[in-house]
Parts: sequence; structure tokens; C-alpha cells
Amino acid sequence: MIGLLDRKLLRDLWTLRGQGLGIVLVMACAAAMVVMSFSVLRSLGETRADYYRRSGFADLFAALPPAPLSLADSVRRLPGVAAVAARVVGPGAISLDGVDEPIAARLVSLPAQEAPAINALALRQGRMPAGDRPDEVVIDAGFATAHGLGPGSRLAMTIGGHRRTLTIAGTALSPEFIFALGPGQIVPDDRRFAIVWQDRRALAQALGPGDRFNDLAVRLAPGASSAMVSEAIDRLLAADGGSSAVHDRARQPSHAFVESQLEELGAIGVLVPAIFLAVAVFLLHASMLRVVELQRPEIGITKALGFDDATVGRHYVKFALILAIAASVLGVPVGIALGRVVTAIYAGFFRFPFLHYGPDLLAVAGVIVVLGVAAVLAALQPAARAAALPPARAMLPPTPVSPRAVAGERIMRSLGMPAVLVLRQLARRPVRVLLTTLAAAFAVGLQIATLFSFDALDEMVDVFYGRAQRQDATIVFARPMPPAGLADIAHWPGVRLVEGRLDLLARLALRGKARDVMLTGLPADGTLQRLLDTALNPVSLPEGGLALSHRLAEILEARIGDRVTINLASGRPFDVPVAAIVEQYVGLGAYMNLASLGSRLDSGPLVSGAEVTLADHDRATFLRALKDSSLVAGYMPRTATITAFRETMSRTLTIIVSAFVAFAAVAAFAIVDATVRVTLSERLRELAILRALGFGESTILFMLAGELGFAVALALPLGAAVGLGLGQVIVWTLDNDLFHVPLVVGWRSHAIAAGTVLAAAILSFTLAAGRVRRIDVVAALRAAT
Amino acid sequence: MSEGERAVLTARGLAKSYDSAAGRVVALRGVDFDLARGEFVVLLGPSGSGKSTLLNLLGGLDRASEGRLLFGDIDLAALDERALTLYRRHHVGFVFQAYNLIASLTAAENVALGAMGVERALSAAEALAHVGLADLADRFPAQLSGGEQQRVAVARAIVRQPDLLLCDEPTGALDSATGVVVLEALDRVNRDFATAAVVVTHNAVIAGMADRVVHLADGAIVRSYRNQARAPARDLAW
Repeated sequence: MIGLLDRKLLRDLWTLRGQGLGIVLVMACAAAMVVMSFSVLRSLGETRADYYRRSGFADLFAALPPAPLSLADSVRRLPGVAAVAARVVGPGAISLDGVDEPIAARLVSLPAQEAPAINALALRQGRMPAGDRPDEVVIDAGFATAHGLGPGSRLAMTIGGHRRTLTIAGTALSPEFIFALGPGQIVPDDRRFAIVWQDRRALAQALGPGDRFNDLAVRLAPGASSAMVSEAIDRLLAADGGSSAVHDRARQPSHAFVESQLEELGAIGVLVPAIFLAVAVFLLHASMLRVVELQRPEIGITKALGFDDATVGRHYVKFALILAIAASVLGVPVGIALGRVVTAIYAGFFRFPFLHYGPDLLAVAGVIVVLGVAAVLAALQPAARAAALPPARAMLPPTPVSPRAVAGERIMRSLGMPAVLVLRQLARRPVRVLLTTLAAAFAVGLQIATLFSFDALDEMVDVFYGRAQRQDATIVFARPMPPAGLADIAHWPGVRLVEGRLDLLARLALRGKARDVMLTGLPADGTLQRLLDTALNPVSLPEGGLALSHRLAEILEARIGDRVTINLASGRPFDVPVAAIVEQYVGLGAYMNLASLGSRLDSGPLVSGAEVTLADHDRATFLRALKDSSLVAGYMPRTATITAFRETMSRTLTIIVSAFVAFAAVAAFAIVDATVRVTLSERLRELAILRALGFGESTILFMLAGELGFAVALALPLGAAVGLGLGQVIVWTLDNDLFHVPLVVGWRSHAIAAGTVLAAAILSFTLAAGRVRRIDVVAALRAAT
Repeated sequence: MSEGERAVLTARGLAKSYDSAAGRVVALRGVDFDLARGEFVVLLGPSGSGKSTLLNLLGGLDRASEGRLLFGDIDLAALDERALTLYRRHHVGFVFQAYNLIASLTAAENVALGAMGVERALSAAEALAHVGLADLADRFPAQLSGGEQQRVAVARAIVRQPDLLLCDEPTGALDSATGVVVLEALDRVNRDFATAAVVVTHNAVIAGMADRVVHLADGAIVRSYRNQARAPARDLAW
């Protein structure tokens, strides 16, 4: 049977349901977010793992100069190797009717049917190419969808300098290209990059290696050491006279991109709910303090009746625990349901051939425990205070506050006695005002901490693609060429300015730390691709010096003047001093003077691409020239890159952040409403007395509005600061090699955050005004005596 | 108290002082006080004379700064918090001016709360019947008049059949007619259960129903006398 104190507890909770609901909502938001985030992550993670397993996704990869197939057999025989795919891989360009620009493609030879599956394709449409039809290909489903292509469509391609017309037999997904990143791309763009799978023999003929292969994908036997097998393969390839860099999945572009996306989701999916939970704990703590204060007489009588301190303390801990249970009951199903929705949205972006959705039961159990523990922690001090309250004192009214006059009273007096009373109330109950202000500040802060992501995205686009990159388009050459070749491009119709660039994969090492990055050579007097210092001002690239992006400098622990050792794929390693640290929100960057870098190459100076500015009226002619040129492997107009970047962000981080923003708005309303309700219940008796003394309804409401208005007005700037602080923590958590998210809060975010809290305050106050109008003065006075 | 009567409570040199914002306040200074089983004592005195402080000390709600306070042979000053809690639970019933009912419990539940953990307790219905409220058992405090609430408080105090019934201004918030009904309930409990009762009041009329009247002023007993006969509560009016 339920005990009397428990019965009291349940009825008290029912009486305080308004403010209790606010706290429950904030905690439920945290619970729902945790369950949602973990369920999304778990589902995506398990789907990926199962996809990798079913398709035999390779563990090691290597690009190498054309090598005989016997070398692949040697690799196959190495201990720890389960399967090997010796493939032919190369660039190509697609010319599509109705698309002005050339589209970069990566051609990959189809796996042999009889071999154990490595990177097996999952057909979405059509069939695999017929053995006797070398002109048939399979293309990646993303590109097919972006251009409305399907089985039977014809594809005009330039492969190895020759034009060919191919027929699409089917569209497919590959674990190797969950995200397909084209040359020079940092985010996927289905419209501008395609994967084309073709029969091995036909492709080898077209690209030139003949009976040889130039790309290796290796699947390891269970328990094999990735590092040991890598070394063994490296030794075999070196003995064959070739050079290669065998790498594991961490450097496989698609895997690395998926991994970084999941990592970001994981980081933000833990951090933001944790912040919500901390706010909920604060709110619960503040509310429990107020409940204990309101129930002083009841605490007194309970003790006078012989209940011990521990029983009284436990009573208030139970109070908080019931709220936590209610939050779990509300939040967990919402989290599970939202997880399903969000996972489905992500599934459309992460190209998996199937999807496993399941709620993360461990997260569900964890969140229930964490909410319970958080509730106990929040209630501990108020409960201890209730337990320690001597019964004789508990039954006395709270100690009257000192009757000192408050500074500013004289000015307020001119506004009338109610204004003076508001001022005195504020000055004499500073802790209460502080708690109200802090609660409202958290309501503002939570929103800013989630809304700022959109401002940050705008800032990234503005800085990276606005201030730093000023070209109209970037061209990636099919193969590096001497800088003199740029002169030809300069003469193409519509080209105003051409600046060469050289992108080389390089290993940068300093004091035992090393990182493989793209080292970019830029012309000394270049104006199109600019480097920005950490204050976002343009910096010139010193001759013979190295500029590192801020994040890369951190990874290498490099400071200005440090000599970094650079190891290129060919040529001798060389040392270059760090001359500048530059800000770059996207990717890791290392930059050198183009001429200096060129002088280090065995082949002499080269350019691997160019930045161009174009005249508007000649753009169509330029694109025709581009399509006709066999020099070009990739073409990226800056506007298209910005669109692709925004789309990528809007389909990854933004989805979950949008859910968080919605939660923050709900939480803001809940926090403000709970705060208004607590304030009203504390003041109801005093307000009734004032009514009895002849103060009108409007005067009473003025006083209530004055107190709340003061707290909310104070909360807005404080909340902005809280939001910045929380945002900083999120930024630190989100920082990875792919994106460095800046902490920027635009006026729109401030306005939305402040507007939501003000709207919540006005709505809650309107509801409170109804209660003030219904005050039973006689009953309140009788209770007061 | 005659020699044959056994004292329920014996206080010697009882003093209480505490610190406040205005400095050290001496609420009670060296009070000697005895209470016999079944005795009805009224404590009179102006505000701040120390009546409520003495009552709180007698009931174990507060601790004396100096002096001895014996409940039978037990020195209350030597008891720890836990033992003091048990003393209140098993031996003391309180009635306060502000009723102090739990708003979220019904009349019967409020009374039952007073019976929890006490083996010899009456049922809540019996206790309520004793104060004439058997019919209102299921009402919440907000649904009762002031007098009814105070009678529920009396029922809650007596449900455990305490040795001591301590009442702090039990009629202070009530009109004369309602106050008399409450006093009748106290009188009945005192007589029926032979419970020693101490009633703090500044209403001198109530002194008529006491066995003994004790006057306090400035934290000390200034006068004490016995009534020749206890006036029936129903004859009181103010």
C-alpha cells in the first residue's frame, strides 16, 4: 500500500504539475536527444559494418605504377591476406548532353566474378555488364539519379585521351564510394563526379596498362595485423621496382568522410544533450530549493509528528526521482521515434543499400540511470536542507528580511509604491532573482548554443569560398604539366585570369609527429587563392616558407620558425621553415610557393590544376573548349562547390542540429514557464495580502511583471554569454580534420533566442495573470494568519 | 503538584538563547517547571515572554541552552536527534495556531499521519470521532472551516494517545464560538486519556479551564497558581 507521505508526494506533484512539467520537459528533451542520437549512430554504424562485411570492403588500399598480375598473386600468398583485388583504376571525363561542363569520372575495373568478393557492388538498377559487351558499364547510383540516367542510357566519355561511347547496363552502390570525392573536391557532389565500373580487360586497354594492374585492394584474414601486412606488401612492391603507399581504411576517402561524419554526430549527440541535462539539473535543483522553502511548515509538522530527518530528506529526493521517471517515460519513446525519422533522412545521404534501424537499448537504459542520478544530485542539497531544518524553526515564517531602504528607492518612489515594492522585492531576495535570471539565461543560452551552427556554416562559406577563394572555377588537370601549359588555357575564350596550382600528396613531419596531407603550391603573386591569417586578413606566402592551417599546426605542434620535413612521393625529403599559420575552416592545408615546390621535384616545375576567372558573356564558349580539351580531369565552378558544401552540411550536421534547435525552443518555453509558475506560487500569498489592502488587479500584475521583466531583461545578455560559452564547448568538440567550425553568433540567432524567451515569458505571464485574477483573498489571508 | 503525583516532565533551570541579526536574544532564563500526568496547564504571557519557546523545549522540537529537562527519568537534553524524534513520535502530540495540516492529505490521512509508527495509536476514525468530525474524514483541509481544521489538528495530536498534549495558541486564529468547540475537544481528550496538556495562549479567559495557570514574562515564570475548579470549556467566552 502506498504510504501517506508518498500519497502527499503524489498530490503535491499534481498540485505543482505546471512547474513540474517544465522541468520534466527539459529533462525529457535531454533524454530524447540522447536516445535519438545514439539510436541514429548505432543504426548507421551497424548498417555500415554490415554493409562492409557483406560487400567484403577492403582493409588495405594501394595505388601503384602498372605492375604484373603475378605481383598480385604474391600479395595473395602473404600471411594475413584473405583476398586481393588487382584493379585498373584511372580518370576519365564524361560529356553529357544538356550539361555544359565536363564531368570528372573515376573508372574502376569490375571485380572478377569468380574471385572472393572485394568491394562488391550492390546493383540498384539493371544488371552487371555482359562478358561479351566491353562497352557496357555500371555507374554509381548517386550520379545516375542526379542526371536521370539509367540502364540503356548512353555515356560519352574521354578515356586515356580517346572518345568512347558506353552503354549503362546498371547502376550500383559500392562500399568504396559511400561518398565519392572527385579530384579537388572536399565534399561530395553527385552532379560533378561519377564512378564508372567497366570490364577489366576493356578498361586496361583504354587506360594503357594492358595486362598489368595499378590499384590494389586487400581484405585481411580475421585477426591479421593491418600494419604488418601493409609492411609486407610495401616490401613486395619495392622489390618489384615500384613505389607505393599502402594505406588502411583511415585514409580511404569515402571511409574517412563517413567516419568523420559519424564522429561529429557522435560528439554533438553526446555533448548537446549533456548540456540540456546540466540545465535540467540546475532547474530541478532551483525548483527543489523553492519547494522546500514553500513547504517549511509541512516539514516542521512532519518532524513534530515524529518523522526522522532521513525520512523527510528521502521524501524530497523521491520528489525529484518521480520527475526523472516522468521525463524518461516521455523522452525515451520520443527519442526512439525521432531516431527512426532522423536515421531515415541520413540513410538517404549515406548511400547504404539497406538500413538497420533499432533503438540503442543501452542508451535507453543509460539515460534512465543518468536522469535518476541527475535528479538525486539535484535534490540532494534541498533534501539535506529539509532534513536539517529544526522543526520549531520550520514552522515559523521565514526570517523577515532586513527593513533597510534600497538604493534607487527615491527614483522609484516617483513611479509609485508598487514600483518601490518591486525594487525592494528584487533587492531583498537576490538569490531568488538570481535563480530566475539564471534559468531564463539558460533558456536563451541553449538556443544560441544550437542556433549558432547555421551562422557558423555561413561564416565558413563566406571565409573559405568568399574571402580566401576568389576564382570562378577550379580546373584539375588529367595529369600534371609544366607551368607553360597555363598559357594555352589563358587563350581559351572567356578566360580572364589563370593561376596555376600544384597539389601533391606529402608527408609532413616535425619532432616525431607526422601527417599525410595535400601540399599545395600557389604562385607567389597569386590573387585568386588567398591565404588568411587567424584574424582572417590576407597573408602573402613567403618564398621558401611553409604555411600551415591552424588545425594542422596544432596536430604537428608546429610554431613559426620550426623546420618541417616534407616527404613527397618522389624526390628527396627536404626541410622548410613554418612561415605562417593560416585559418582554414575546411580540411587540413599546407601551402608553399609554387616555384619553390616545383624546384624540389625531380621532374622540374609542374602544375596539377588552375584557378580561373571568367568573363560572363564568353562562359558558354569557354565550357565548350573545356569539354573538347583532353587536359582536363575535373572542373569545379565555385558556386557549385558552395552549393555542394551547403548541401552536404544541410544533409549531415544540420539535420541533427535542427532537431536540437527544436528541443532548445521547447526547453526555453518550459524553463521560462516553470520559472514564472514558481515565482507566482511563492508570491501568491503576498499578492493576496496586497489585494486585501486595496491594491488593484493591474497594480498586482504590474508588480509581478516588474519582477519577471527584470529577471528576463537581465537574462538576455547573460544568456548570450552562456550561449557563447556552451557554443565554444561544442566547437571544441566538433573540431576535426575535415571541418573547423568557427564560433560565430549572428544577430538572427540572438533575435530568435531572445524572441523565444520573451514570447515564452509573455505567454506564461498571461497564464499567471489569470491565476492572479482568481486569487481568493479571504482564503489566502486565512492561511496567512 | 501534590507529592503523590508522578511528574511526566520536570524542568530545572531551563534556559534558551539564540543569535539573531539584532544580537543575542535570551528567550528563556532559568525556568523550573513540573507537569503531572493528566494535568491541564495554561501558560499565559505577552508576546515574547517565552511561552512558545518553553512549549517547543517540552515537546522536543528545540533544545535548551542550559538546564535539565526530564521526561520521567529520561534527560531530553542528553538525547540525540534520533531519540528526540522517537520521543516526539511516541509521547507528544502538538496543536499549533496555524493548524499546520498537510494540504494535500485528507482529514483522515492527516490524522493517520500522526499515528504512523505508533503501536498503541487509535484509528483515524476514532480520533476524528473524538473531536466530532467523523463525517468530514474525506475532506481536504481547504474544504474545512478554520475550527474544523484545528479539530483535525487536535485529532492528529491525540491519535497516538500521547503522554503530553502541547498546544500553541490553539484558538488564536478562531472566533470565540469556534474556539470553544476546539477547547472542548482538548478538555475531553485530557480527561478521557489522562493526557497531560499544556496550552500556550495570551487569552486569559482560557485560564479558567486549567488545573494550573503559569504566567511568564521576559523569559521567566512570574506567577503560578491552581484553580479551585476547572471551568467547563463551553462556559468560556471572549
